[in-house]
Amino acid sequence: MTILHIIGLSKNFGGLTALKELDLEIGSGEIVGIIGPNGAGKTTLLNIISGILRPSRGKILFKNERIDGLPSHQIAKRGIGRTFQHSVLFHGATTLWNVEAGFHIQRKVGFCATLLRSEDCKREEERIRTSAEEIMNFMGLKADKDMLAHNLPFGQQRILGLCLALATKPELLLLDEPAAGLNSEETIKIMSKIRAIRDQRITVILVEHDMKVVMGLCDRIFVLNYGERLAEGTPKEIQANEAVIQAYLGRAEAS
Amino acid sequence: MKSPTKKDNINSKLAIPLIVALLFPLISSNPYYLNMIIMGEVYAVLTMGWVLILRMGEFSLGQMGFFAIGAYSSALLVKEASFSFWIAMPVAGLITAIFAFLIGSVTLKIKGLYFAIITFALGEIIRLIITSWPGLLGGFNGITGIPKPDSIALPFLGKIDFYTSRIPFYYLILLIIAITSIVLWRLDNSKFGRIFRCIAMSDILAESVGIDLKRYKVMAFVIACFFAGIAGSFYAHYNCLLHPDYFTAWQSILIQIEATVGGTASMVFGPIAGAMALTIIGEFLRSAKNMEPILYGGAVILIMFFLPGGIVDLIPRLRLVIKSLKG
Amino acid sequence: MIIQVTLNSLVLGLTYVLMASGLTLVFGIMRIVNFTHGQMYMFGAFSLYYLTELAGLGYFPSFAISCGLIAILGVLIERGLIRPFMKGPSVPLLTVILGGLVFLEGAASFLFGELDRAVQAPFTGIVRLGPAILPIERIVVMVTALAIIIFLYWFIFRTKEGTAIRAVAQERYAARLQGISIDRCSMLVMAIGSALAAAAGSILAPIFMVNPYIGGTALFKALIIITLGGMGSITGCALGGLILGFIEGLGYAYLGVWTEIIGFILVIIILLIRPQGLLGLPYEIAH
Repeated sequence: MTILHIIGLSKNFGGLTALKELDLEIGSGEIVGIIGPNGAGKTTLLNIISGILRPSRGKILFKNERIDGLPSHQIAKRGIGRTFQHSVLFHGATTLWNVEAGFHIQRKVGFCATLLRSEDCKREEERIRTSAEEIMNFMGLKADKDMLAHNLPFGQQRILGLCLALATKPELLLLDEPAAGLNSEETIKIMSKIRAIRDQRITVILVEHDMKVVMGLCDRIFVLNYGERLAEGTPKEIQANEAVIQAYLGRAEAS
Repeated sequence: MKSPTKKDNINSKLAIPLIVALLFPLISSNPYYLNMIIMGEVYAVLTMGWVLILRMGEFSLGQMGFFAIGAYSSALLVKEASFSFWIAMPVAGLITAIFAFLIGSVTLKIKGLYFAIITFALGEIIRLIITSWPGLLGGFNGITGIPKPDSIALPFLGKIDFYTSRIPFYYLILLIIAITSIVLWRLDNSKFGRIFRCIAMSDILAESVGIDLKRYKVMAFVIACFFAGIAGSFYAHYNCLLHPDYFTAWQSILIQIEATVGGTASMVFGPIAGAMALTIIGEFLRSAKNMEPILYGGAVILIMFFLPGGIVDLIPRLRLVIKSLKG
Repeated sequence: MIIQVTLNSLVLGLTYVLMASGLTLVFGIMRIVNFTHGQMYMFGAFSLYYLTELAGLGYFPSFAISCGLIAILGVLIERGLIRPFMKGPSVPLLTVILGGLVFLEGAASFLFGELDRAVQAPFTGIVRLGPAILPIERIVVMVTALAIIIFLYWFIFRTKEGTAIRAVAQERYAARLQGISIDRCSMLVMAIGSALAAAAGSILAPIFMVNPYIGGTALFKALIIITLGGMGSITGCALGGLILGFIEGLGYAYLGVWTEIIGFILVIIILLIRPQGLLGLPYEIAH
C-alpha cells in the first residue's frame, strides 16, 4: 500500500529551482533512502513533506489525503513525525521532559480541567510519563532520563530526537541525516534503532550521506540531483547505476 | 525542569505569606504603607503576566498599553455608562482580552527582537491615542473624578465601604493577586506550561510534535493581558484619576525589570517578590531625591551579574554556597 | 506655505537621520539594538551644556570634547555591560541593556537635576527662501547630518578599519581567522556609534531643551527610522529619516496632534510585512 505519494512536486526559491517535477511513491513499511550531492534538494523535500515549506507546484498525498500546504503542526497530527539535522532538541530540559513533550498530540484533557487539576488531568500525566519511559526503554535511553538534553553524548542526542518523534505515534517518520557526525559505534546503534522502528510498522524515509547506513538499511533508494530524480532502485541497483556513480557515489566514497 | 506530576501545591506554599498578608492591616493601617503595598501588588499582577509571555518565548515591552485599556475601559463604563464597578472590572478585563486577541493574532507571527519592538510601539500608540483624544478619553488632561467601587455587603463583615479607608482596597487587590497567582501557577505547571516552554525553546521542534504555535502564543498573550486589564480597572478606581503620561514605555520596561529582579523562572513568587521589593524600596527612594531609576537600573544589572535567577534564587544559591564550603 | 512645510520636513528628516546614524551603525555591525543610544545622545547634550555654559569653552571645542567623552562612555558600556552577555541568549542581553538605559537616565537626573537647560546657539540668524524661513541653525543641522552620512560611507566602505568591521559583521568566525580582533572591533563600533549619538545631541542641544529625559525621545525616533529604513543600512537610515521627516512634517502641518502616532504605526506595519525594513539585511534575529 502506498503511504506517501508525491506527484509533480516543484519548489522555487526566488530564481533558484530546488525541486523539479518530483514523483515519488513510498510503500507502507518500507525504509526508503534519499541520497544525492549537497544542494540536491533532499532536506527541502523533507521540509515540504513535513509542512515547514510550501510547494510551488505539485501534490503530496499521505494515506490518499492531500497534505501539501498544510501547516506543520497539522501534518504532525496526521501521523508524520520527523527528526532534524544538528540535534534539534529542547535543550534546557531533561531527557524525560523531552520525550514527554512529544506526547502533545495524544493529550486530551482540556483547558478548564487542567486549571482545576482534575483527576483526569493527573491520570493523563501519569500515563504520558509511563509511555515516555517505555519509549526510552525501547530505544535504550532509560538510564539518562534525568540528564539535561544538551549534556547527553552526541549519539544519545540523536536517539533522543528519535524518541521525541516516536512519541507522536507516527505512521511515517522522516529522518534528516540521523547518522551525521556519529562515530562507527554510534552509527551501528542508530541503525539498529531504525530497524526496530520499522519493525513497529512505521514507514521510514531517510536522508543520509553515510553510504554504509543507506545501503545497509534501505529497501529502496531515490537519488536526487539538482532537484530532479536521477535514479531509483534497490541498494544493489543503485550501486551499479552508472549515472549515479558518476554524479554522486564516486564522490561519496571519497568522503 | 519540573514535571507537572511533582507535588508543588501552591496552596501549601502560599499559606504563610497569605496569612501574614491577611493580617497586615490589623497591625498597621498607615495609609502611606498601605498605598505602597497596594501599588506593589498592582505591579505584581502586571509582572506575572509579563512572565507568562516570557514563558512562551517572547519579550513584551507593551504591557502598560493593556493596563491602560483596562483602566480606561473601566473608568468609562462606570463614569459614562453607569455600570457598577463590580461589573465594570470583569468587563474591562474582557475588553482588554479582546484587544489582546486581535493584536496578538496579527503580531505574534513575528518573534524575538522584532516582536519586542512591536509591543513597544503598540504601547506608545495606545498612549498617544489616549493623549490625542480629548473627548471621550480625556486627552492629555486625563480622566478625573472616577468613582471608587460602590460598597458591597459581605456575609459576617457587613457593608464594606471603599470611601472611608484604603483597607478594603488592600483586600481587593490581595484577592486579585490570589486569583491571578493560582490561575497562572496552575497554567505554568500543567501541560500548557510545558507547551509554552517547548515553543520558547524551539518552535520548529514544537510544531513537529503537533503544537499549534499561533494558538498557544495567542493564548498566553491574551491571558497575560486580561489580568493586566483587571489590574488597570483596579488602578482606575483606586487612584480615581487617569493620566496618559502614566502609561509609558518606561513603565513597561520597569515591569520587565521587576520580573527579572524577582526571578523569571518562577511564575508567581518571583514576579511578586520583584514587584513588591522594587516598588517599596523605590517609594522610599523617591522621597529622597528621585533615585528610583537608579535603583531599578542598578538592581537589574547587579542581579544579572551576580544573581541571575533573581530574588527567589537567593536562598537556593546560598544553600549551594554553604554546601560547597562544607564539603 | 508648502515651501515652509517642505523645508521643515527636510530639516526634521535630517535631524532624525542624525539621531539614528549611531544606532544603525551599532546594529549593522554588532547585531544588537543599543537601547542606551538615547542616553548617549542626552549625555552628549549635557556635556556640551556644561562645557560651553559653565567651563566657558567655545562651541566647537566643546562639541569635539563631548563626542570624545561619550565615545569613552560607549566603550565602557560595551566592555562592562554588553560584552559579558553578547554570547549568551538574547533575553539577558536585552534585559541588561534596558537596565543600562534606565540606570543612565536615573544617573543623569540625579546628577544634573530635572530642570531644562538652554544652550546658546553658535549660529544665529535666518535665511529667507521666498515666503519661507530657514534658521541658519537648522542649516547647520542638515549639513552635519549629510556630513555624517558621507563620513560613515567613507569609513565603512573605504578604510581598512571599516572593511575589517564589515568582515566581522558578515562572518565573525572567518574574520577571526584573518586576525581581526572582534573585541577591538566591537569597542570601535560602540565608540563611533556613541560619538555619533553625542554629536546629534550636541548639534540639537541649542534647538531643543536639554534635560535628562530627552534620551527617550531620541531613542524612539531612532528606532522608528532604523526599522523603516532597515536596521544596519546607512542608506536605509538616511532614507528612513527623510521619509519620517516628510511624513511628520506634513502631518504637523495638516493633521496636528495625531502625527506622533504615524511613526509607530509605520513601525508595526513594516515589521509585519517586511521586518528587515526597506533596505535592511534579510536575516533572522536569533531568539
